[in-house]
Amino acid sequence: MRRVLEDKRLSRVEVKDGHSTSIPLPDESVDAVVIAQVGQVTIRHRFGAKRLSW
Amino acid sequence: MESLRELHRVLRPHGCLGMIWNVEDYNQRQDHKASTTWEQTMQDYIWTQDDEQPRFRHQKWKQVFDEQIRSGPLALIVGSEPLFSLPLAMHEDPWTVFLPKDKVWDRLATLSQIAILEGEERELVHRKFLGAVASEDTQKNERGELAIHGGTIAAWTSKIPASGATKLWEKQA
Repeated sequence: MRRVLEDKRLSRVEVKDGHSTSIPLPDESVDAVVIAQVGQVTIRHRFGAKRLSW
Repeated sequence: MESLRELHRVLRPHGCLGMIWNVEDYNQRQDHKASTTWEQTMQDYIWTQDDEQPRFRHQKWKQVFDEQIRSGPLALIVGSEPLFSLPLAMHEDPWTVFLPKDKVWDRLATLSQIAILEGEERELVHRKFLGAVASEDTQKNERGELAIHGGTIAAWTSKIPASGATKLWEKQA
């Protein structure tokens, strides 16, 4: 699933390795977190976080 | 709960947390009534094969949000602010997709309860599926493809900053 996201080469989207319990982002750094495509086989949640510029 | 704390950490004050699931009827929570007989049959079967790994259908994700404000006697003394605001906002968009029968089976077989089966065991479930889709209420399109019913479910909430009350007050001032 991660590979599918990477292959889309979405502009202004960076794919990072992480875990729902250790997200590679600094404190208070993102406006929103959307959790989607939680794997059926994996136990831990995957996550996607995007920095929005307002 | 550990994940909630981590999400709370990276979010700006009053930042939003959204969750999205695509859930077919056959993969729904136990009290959900499937749209057709075959989908109900497969939903029931999947529940009988439960491996106790938390998934959407177990609704444990929701319990976590309720537990964040479950206060014990000590909470009155130490104060326990919840991390995210409640109640959660929820929205469900139902959808129907049509697929040829073998593709419906392929999709169903990606569920780990079926994916782990081999040989005769897998064949038994396949036959159960074929019997179930032969039910009268199975919906088909003009190409003979079967309807799969499901929904895109979204839930969202916002972060309550540790000193949320003060910051809101400062905003107004």
